[in-house]
Amino acid sequence: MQIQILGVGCAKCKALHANAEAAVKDLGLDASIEKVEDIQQIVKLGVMTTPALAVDGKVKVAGKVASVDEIKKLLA
Amino acid sequence: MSETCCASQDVMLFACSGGSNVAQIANDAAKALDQLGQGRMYCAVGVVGNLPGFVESALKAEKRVAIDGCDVHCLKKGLEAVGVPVDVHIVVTDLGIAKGHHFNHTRDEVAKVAGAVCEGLKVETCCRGCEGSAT
Repeated sequence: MQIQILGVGCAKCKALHANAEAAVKDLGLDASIEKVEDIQQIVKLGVMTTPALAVDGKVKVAGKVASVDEIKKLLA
Repeated sequence: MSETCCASQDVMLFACSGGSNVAQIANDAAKALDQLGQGRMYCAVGVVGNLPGFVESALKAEKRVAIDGCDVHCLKKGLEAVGVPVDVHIVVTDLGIAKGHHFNHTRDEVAKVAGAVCEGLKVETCCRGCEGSAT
């Protein structure tokens, strides 16, 4: 499983990244978490508001910091 | 502000909005950059129409980006004709996207232009910084 955190490095992007890491750890998943700060990559994924979270190339959350529990539900 | 973020200054984005795919790619790229916090899209027609308030606002921006669709460069010429300098000029057809009278452009094409704008802003910022520290 590949998780991408999309955003240009703002505090909210960092918070979403931390929540994603916690969710992966809690679920014991074998998943990679990648930060995507490149605007070209972000626009390619169709994201217009950040932070955003994509799983295996599909955007699941955009424009908010999803909580650990919300991310766990997305990944389970 | 992230080191990779190109909107460290007051960036004003102008886009061509003509009747072709490349014009609408320019417009969509400006919209995406605006929504992603990389600048503020502004009314190009108001400025090139020489409406005083619009021109004044454009002159106040720290950086002005013009995204033209093709090598006619209408937007850049229009801005400069009313005394508004362009700091970063991107031309969609220069990025290998062919002009056509259709609107079937892709997200990848829009992303390519948005990426080019960010690159242009970084180069501009870097070069000015280097000039400032050279002596």
